[in-house]
Amino acid sequence: MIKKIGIAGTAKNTGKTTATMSLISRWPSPASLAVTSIGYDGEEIDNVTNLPKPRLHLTTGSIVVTAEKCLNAGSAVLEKLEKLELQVPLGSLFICRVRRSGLVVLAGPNSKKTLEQTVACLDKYNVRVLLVDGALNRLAPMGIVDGLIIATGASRNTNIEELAQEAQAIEFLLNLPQLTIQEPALHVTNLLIERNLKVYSFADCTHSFIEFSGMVDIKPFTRLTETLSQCPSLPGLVFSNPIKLLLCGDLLKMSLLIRDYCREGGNVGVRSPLSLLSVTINPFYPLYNKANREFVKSWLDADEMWSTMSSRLKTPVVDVVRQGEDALYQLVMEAVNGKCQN
Amino acid sequence: MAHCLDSIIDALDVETFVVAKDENEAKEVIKKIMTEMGLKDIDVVYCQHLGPGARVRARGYIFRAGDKYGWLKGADGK
Amino acid sequence: MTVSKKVVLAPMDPVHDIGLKMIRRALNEAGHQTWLYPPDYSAQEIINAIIEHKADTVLVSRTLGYGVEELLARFVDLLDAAGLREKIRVAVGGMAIRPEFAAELGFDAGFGPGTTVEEAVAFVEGREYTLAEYATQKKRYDLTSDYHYTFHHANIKKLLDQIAGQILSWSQGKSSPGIGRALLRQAIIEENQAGKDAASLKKEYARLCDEVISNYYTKGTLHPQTRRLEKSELDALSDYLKLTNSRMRAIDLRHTRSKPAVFVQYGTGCPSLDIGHIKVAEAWGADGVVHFDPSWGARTEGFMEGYQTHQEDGSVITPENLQCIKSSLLDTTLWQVRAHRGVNTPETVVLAANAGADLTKINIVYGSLGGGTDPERLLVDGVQSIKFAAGYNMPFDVVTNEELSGVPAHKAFAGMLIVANLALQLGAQPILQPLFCNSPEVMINGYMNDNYIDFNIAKILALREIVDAPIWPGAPIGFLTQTEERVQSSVSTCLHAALAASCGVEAISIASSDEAYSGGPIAAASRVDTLKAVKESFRFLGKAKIAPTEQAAQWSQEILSGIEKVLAQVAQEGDFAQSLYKGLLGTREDGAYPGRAGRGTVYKVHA
Repeated sequence: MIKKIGIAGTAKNTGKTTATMSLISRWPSPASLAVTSIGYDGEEIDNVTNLPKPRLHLTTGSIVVTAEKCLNAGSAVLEKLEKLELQVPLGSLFICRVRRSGLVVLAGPNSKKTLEQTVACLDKYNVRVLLVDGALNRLAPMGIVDGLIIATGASRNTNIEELAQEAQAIEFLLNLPQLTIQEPALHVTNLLIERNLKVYSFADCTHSFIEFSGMVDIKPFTRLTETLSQCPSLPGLVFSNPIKLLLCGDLLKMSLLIRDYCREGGNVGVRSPLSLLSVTINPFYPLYNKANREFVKSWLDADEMWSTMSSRLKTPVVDVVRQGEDALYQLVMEAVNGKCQN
Repeated sequence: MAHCLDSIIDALDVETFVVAKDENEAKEVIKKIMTEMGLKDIDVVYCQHLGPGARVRARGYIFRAGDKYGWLKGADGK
Repeated sequence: MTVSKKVVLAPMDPVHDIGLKMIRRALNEAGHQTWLYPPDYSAQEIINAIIEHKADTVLVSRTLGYGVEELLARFVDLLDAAGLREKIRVAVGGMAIRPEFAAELGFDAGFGPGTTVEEAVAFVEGREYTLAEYATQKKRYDLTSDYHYTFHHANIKKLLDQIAGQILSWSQGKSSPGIGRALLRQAIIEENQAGKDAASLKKEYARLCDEVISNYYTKGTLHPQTRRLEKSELDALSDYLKLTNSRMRAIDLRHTRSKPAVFVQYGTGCPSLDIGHIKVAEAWGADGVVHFDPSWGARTEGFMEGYQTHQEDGSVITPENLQCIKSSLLDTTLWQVRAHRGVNTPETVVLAANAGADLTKINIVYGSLGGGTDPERLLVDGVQSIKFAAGYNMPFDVVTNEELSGVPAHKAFAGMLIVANLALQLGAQPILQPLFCNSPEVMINGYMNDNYIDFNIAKILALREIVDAPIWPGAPIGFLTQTEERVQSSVSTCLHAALAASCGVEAISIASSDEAYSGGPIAAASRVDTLKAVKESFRFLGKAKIAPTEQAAQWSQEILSGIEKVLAQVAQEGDFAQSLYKGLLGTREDGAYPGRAGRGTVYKVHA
């Protein structure tokens, strides 16, 4: 079974690719490693800020999944092993083996389903771990990973206190327990807008559980918890995976609502959990200089950021640049060797 | 050089065609050219990329509104 | 027949929903169901609408800026989390959107500036929209197929036939070194195609050349103004072309009219820079390019071979230079190689045709009176050149550039019609090329004191009253109205282009905004300027027309009767070469001087 490790960011420039790169360069046996991206990795200059971006360097033997137009874009020599029946804007996807080390441009499967299909195809290549590099603030495809690394930092918010509160909320939501439903449950697909609530008769809900298979936005969810609090007994709430909770639109409010719901006796959990392995932090951020209308490199205090974050989170906090490759690698290896829940 | 630029009422435009793979690359190149020409307050006014490269108008502001204009100095430069 | 799609269109931007509205109209016309939402709809509301309508495609538009990427990425994430990502196709369009963005943001496609409505419709319908498909959409022009060359003016036709008869009988049994070289060149090409080196033919060829050219064949020395392009330069050029062609997509300059085709003339002196300029011109919509040879090439007997460059106006004609340029052209680009005026006219036609040119340019009268070639010589060579062109099925234009020296339009037109009718007799396809210009005749008589419209329209009206033939004003339109200043120059060019479009002509040749600058070669940026200006003028005009004052019709009748009078004099003279020498088609006072290049070189041959 391939272990899927996702590296997702809370925003652009939070250090996803740096984290991915640190794992790749520390990896002892390239043949056991596959790497892909749910976005587009490898551009030299950031498309918006025009600041240089890190590029992925892969060693001979490792496997990559990328799009046709990226195959010759880097300096690495790639050998096509298999063409997948999957298309992205940069062409069909290919599973390739790195024949000569060098920089690789990655644009891989960009949805949860296509990532799943890609993993299935990778099975025959004796890969032990698939690293899935995130894109921007995108999370949805990460719903299928076993272990997740969340990259956050100054690029998301230059207020360290607020950044820590958000990370706490993420940690709380990702660590919601796994719930297995025995009793008949009320199945809810999507709660995107408040009007969606009318489809279901929540006010006189007699089910022991409500199971959400789709997307739940914070606004209808707030109304829902108000409605449910009128019920004689609070039904349990089960979300298909915790990633969907991270997309609700207001992480702090969502974590507070769920905490309150639990405090009132409600049971809240997920059907398919995933492990939060680490929160990596990046004090760097692009600062917009109005005078010449350009972005310039800026940094927050790295020590302060690390200590504040570490004191708030149970999850190990890693500053990849300052702590070196080993810290993150050890955490991932522990997970690969059995700590992952799936 | 600074003295010559003082005669420019506000900005110096460079009109050219840059061979580049895309608009971003063309903008980068023209900005670099303008910087190397010693212009500081630069902008790319217009850039259209098609096929071989981009038609570009780059601008270096010598004076913006509210600045102390070089051309308002006396003949002795004071 | 494509299945009807359900499409949600959502501008996630307060101002930029015009593109989506245009796409919506096209989708509705193609029978698809669409829902366009207001710009203030949230991602959640849009996704809810997708669910309600069971849409299968969603198109969002948004201008990029800091933070916008995250917003778009979140939209795709929500689609995914809502379980819809696999069921629907999603594309984003807007300024600065590129496929790399689309990939990073998780979309199926990204449409940036320059995307057509058709491209978006193809996406919705699930058809692959390749660059090749796009390129074939651009029309490759056929300038002559819509014309029957019917003469509407009986007397003019009668006079023209009489003159053609004189020319054909006069030229019978005559030849020249130019014709000799052209025939040898045909033989050399045939031997080369058969894998032979044609050494003895080339020796014979060299004997028919001026010394500076024969030295190339006998001693291997080049014309003093040229140098060979090195292999590394040619390799680099080939790499450049590969890279550039992979990015090329020809745009169409026209708006709602199908005419005119727009030609630009290149001739920087160097095939590599020519190709650089050609690619720029193609990218900005030129339909055709014209090879412009150096002026010494018209006066020097013979052509060299190999890849050669120089630093003067006009690019050297050699078989290799022409092939090199041809290899750079898009399939849709028409290519004209001018042969019209010099002592190498017949061989130019042979080389042009063999290199794959679509068009050439021949005018015996202009070449003799304004181009510096001896009338007798160009008459013999011209007849043979026209025969070659007919044999290669290669249309050519008959330009009236002698107007620029001061010859009045009616005399220049008489000369043009004589050559055109001669061409018809020989089975060729001539294209009439009147000038749209502020010529000396116009300046002296004040024909354009009020406007640039009446006299130019008068020319078109006169020609159309005579014959049903393709008209291609040139070269370039607006000649002598442009100044060195780029805005004035581009405006003048584009207004003349609008006038030409309004007249419904087949093609035009346009200048760059450097037209009036004579201090050095044209810069590529200046080519873009006028192509953009012309596109804008076509957009401005649409199918509307420019109305002349009543003066145009009057001048048109004057030109017509002038032509008839000149033709009567020429017919009366009985010897066309003598008509040229005597100034019937332009006097020395008019500014026409019978040329001297190749004088005394015509010789008799026995059948």
